[in-house]
Amino acid sequence: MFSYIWMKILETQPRRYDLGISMLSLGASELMKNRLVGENVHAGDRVLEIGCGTGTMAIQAALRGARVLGFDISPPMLDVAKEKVDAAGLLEKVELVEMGISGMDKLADDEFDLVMSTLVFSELSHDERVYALDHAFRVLRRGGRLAIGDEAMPRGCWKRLLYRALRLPLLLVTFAVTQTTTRAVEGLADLVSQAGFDIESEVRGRLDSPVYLTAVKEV
Amino acid sequence: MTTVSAWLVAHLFRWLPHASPTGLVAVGNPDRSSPVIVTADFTLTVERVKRALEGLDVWLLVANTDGINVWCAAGGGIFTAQRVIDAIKVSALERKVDHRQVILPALAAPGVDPRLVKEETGFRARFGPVYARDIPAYLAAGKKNTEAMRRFDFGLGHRLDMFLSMNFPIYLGGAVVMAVVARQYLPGYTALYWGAVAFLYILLDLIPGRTGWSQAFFSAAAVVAAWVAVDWLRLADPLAHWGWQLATFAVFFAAGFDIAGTASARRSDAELMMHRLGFSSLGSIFSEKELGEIHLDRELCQGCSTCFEICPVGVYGALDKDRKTTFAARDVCFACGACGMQCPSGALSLSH
Repeated sequence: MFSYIWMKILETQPRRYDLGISMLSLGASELMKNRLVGENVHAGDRVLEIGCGTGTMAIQAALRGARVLGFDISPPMLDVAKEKVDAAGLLEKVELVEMGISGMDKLADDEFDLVMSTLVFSELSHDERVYALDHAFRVLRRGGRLAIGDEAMPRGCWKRLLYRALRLPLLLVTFAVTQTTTRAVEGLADLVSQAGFDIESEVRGRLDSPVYLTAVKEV
Repeated sequence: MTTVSAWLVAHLFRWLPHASPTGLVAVGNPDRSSPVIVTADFTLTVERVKRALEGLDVWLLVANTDGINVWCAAGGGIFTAQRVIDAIKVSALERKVDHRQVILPALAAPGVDPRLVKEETGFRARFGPVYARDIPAYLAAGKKNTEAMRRFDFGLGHRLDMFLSMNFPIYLGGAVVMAVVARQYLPGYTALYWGAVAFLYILLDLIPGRTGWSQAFFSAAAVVAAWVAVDWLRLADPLAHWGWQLATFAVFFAAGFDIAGTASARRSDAELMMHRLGFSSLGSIFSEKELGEIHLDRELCQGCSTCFEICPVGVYGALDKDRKTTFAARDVCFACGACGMQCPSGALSLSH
């Protein structure tokens, strides 16, 4: 199960990630990130980003005056992020760490004002989602907020069929060009509630996807 | 839906990712002392590993590797120590077993640094055999690999395994074009394409030529020469099928385009060509990464033989009189990066 060339292509994938996500969401991912940061980040906030990828949102948050800790499991993604943060002159505002969600157990309690994440929960397994949300709850201060944007599986079987039919060609083209893909997440709001959060809002796009969810750790 | 897509990916489109559920799975009736086998979450991989483990009582820990198989994910920087750490911690493995050891697939070596896993989780990660089918024998021998278990077998079995899934997407691309522009040639194209692929995949070890491309060319030349001879004898016109004979060269070239990279332990001709043409960063698909050569810093080598044990193609030999590692067959190295990642003293690196 091996092709040398394929391995090399995968190795360089992070440089095409932003393009891939933009293609796959037909531009909606940028809008979602802008909105998430615009509505939730305030100057002076301490922000944790789960799965910061190539750093797009961390940079936006830092530009609004927040101090951001972003972590990601992929070293090559972080390399791209570091370049972008450096180019934006934000090295002092954005800290980038290579770790998976299990590294969240090293973060202190009640440390952050906001935990944000886009297109990460759809890449995690059920257990990983529960783990990440439990720790997100723990590291947030009382009154702190959780904001998640992600690909969501539509509710209702006809919507699902339509969603899959519309998405398949896009998925194949995007994967061929950028080796980027996402998996739709189901029942995210329930998991967020189970972790102890109070859901503030859950907004869904046409065909129920993407989902944009905010929740708060009650005072 | 999942099973249909899993089947399609496993058999026809193995280039695409397809993820199975991750986490800890009980195989048989494992207890607190049973071994923990780690694997990637590519659906076909998980299926094959589960089949290989039938009859054993072990834990199978499926790491999240984005639906990509062990070797590609490890080489591509996806299957890293962090993925193993996440899998161990999220599944709360320390509460399920009393020992502190996990067994990784040998082909995860280019990506996973066991020292990091140990540091973060307390679990010692050791490399098991290359193939899941050898896991029962590996366990029975007290977690010891034989020489054969450490080697990737690029022989006929491997090529037949890859035959359909590696070639179908290319066939399909050609077939779609053919169906639109010249439908009458579709059956001929189909026969020619699969004939060429079968010729190359089955006879690869016997075809002369150092690179995949030269093998494809010699094969096409041989087939066309035979065809011309037959036409000459039977029809008295050696060029009766000249169009098909030209097409034969084209089809062999398409089938052999990356055969060195997919079906044998060689570097990819396709990537080499891109580099030679100066496309060192074509759309960043072929980035600044160079085709590496393995380099040994003798000063740093401590003679632990980790490289000898982890190399899947047998590049390394016994230690020399100064207790430094040696190259037994340097020319078979295709720069997978396993030895460089695993060398505890940083004596091995890929350079050019």
